[in-house]
Amino acid sequence: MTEYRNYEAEDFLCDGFFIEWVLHPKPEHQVFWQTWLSENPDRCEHLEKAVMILKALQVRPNDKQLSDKDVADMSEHFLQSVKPKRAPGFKISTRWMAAAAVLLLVTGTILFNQYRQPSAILTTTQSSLIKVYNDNQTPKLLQLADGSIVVLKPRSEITYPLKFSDTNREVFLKGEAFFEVRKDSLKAFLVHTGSMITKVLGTSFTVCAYDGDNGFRVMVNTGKVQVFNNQKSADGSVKASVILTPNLQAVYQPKLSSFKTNAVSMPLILSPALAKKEFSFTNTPLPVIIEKLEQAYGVKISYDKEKYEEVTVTASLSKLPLDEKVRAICKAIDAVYEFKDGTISIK
Amino acid sequence: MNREKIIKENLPETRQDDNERRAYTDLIKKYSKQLFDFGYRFCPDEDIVKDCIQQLYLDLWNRRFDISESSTIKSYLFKAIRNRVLREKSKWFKDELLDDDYGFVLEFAIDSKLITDTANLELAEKVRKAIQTLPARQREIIYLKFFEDLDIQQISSIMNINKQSAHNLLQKAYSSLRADWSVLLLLFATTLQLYRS
Repeated sequence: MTEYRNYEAEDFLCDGFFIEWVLHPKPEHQVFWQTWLSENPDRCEHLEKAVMILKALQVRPNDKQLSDKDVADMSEHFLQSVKPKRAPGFKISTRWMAAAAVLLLVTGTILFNQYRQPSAILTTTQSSLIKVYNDNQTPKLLQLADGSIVVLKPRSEITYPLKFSDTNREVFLKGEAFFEVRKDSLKAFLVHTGSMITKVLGTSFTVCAYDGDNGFRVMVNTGKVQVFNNQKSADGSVKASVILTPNLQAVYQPKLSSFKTNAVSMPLILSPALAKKEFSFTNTPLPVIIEKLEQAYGVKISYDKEKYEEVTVTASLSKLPLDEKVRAICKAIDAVYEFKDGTISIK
Repeated sequence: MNREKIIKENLPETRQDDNERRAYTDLIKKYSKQLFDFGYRFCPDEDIVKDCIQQLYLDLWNRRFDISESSTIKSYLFKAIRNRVLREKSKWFKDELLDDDYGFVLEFAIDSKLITDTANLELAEKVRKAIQTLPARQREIIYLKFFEDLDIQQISSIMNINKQSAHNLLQKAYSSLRADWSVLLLLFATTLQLYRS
């Protein structure tokens, strides 16, 4: 054991045994330091000085902490995820077998239709899948179980579960779609296209994949998006991965097996900086607002033009997702809205 | 490692009973804040760290990990969250990451109410600054040792190094502190001399 006879405050402050005694005293520390003090009363001053300084040094808290509510949410989410699949005791009902069969059938079709569809779908989806193909000339608007918005472009197809699994939100896309994802930091939102996966926690972006991995492209409006190739290299590492922030796009280059990242040529209207300007309205005629929404999201919004021509709205809508933007407008003009057949109508 | 022996026998029907779920929610309540505090120091992104913690619990559950082993569970959770956060961070911030310097935010503040005079305040300030200049790994070990009160055995398992290396790393942290404020003292002495001459 160190003598400590000639120690000054500075020396104590970089001694592990001393620091432990001050911060987390255990019996062996107490015995040692009490004995030491009684034997070295003249050094008492130095020791006390070091104790004072050590106690005054405090770890600065992070700028973010988990709140009690966050913890409660986590606990709730956990319980939801591990809910027993069937009632105690055991009854394998025929209903269960029927459900399993349907799932297999649907999945089988997808495996057949889509080249290299990840097997993840077998394990993560518990409810039936919905497949939507847009054979119109205009984009189709869909709302998923979690409230996320999808604008499905013509000649594009999306497959998604009626209800998302408890662990994540997975959809499968062929073609192009714009996504406005509801924030849920506990459940990642994954868009599968060929061997590419686009992963987010809550944001808006466009995925374009008409021809498998060739010409695969992702554009980001808000938030952070991760794109990666799900085909693993020989060493098991992820082959190519890229992070995108607003107004950036990634284009996959199959020959190089890598992504090329660059800024989009025109800042996207829904990117935070532009949206703040574009979606703040002061006494703006309703038709102007509607047109702006149609342009930004590429969806059709029908309304009675004559009735609302003169109506003006003052609102700041930049932070709201599409459906809430529409709801806010309807509230302001005392109307109701409906999402139907891939379009929005205000009445 | 020898984790296998603390993984419970697979009891298909009973393992999902209420008691087990309650044990997990107790665990979540007990450790989530600490794990977040630790993880956030590697990766200051709330969503990523939360996501990692959530996935960790589910992973333990799915692997039927025995969480009742109270002596090892804390360091096990810390180790697991550290690995997850670093892995996830390297995905999200690929270009910014250098091999050894993974970044670990640890800053100190001085509670001046506890300091009696200005000379001591100066010394405290010196110590504070010296800790700030330590490399990430040394800051991390100081955090684990003194903020979380973990022993060398637990720390070595969390940081994925052997016991001797953990011991050495901690010693190195102390001596860099020592060296750091020797320099500061020296500087102070020289200025004083210059002033006098």
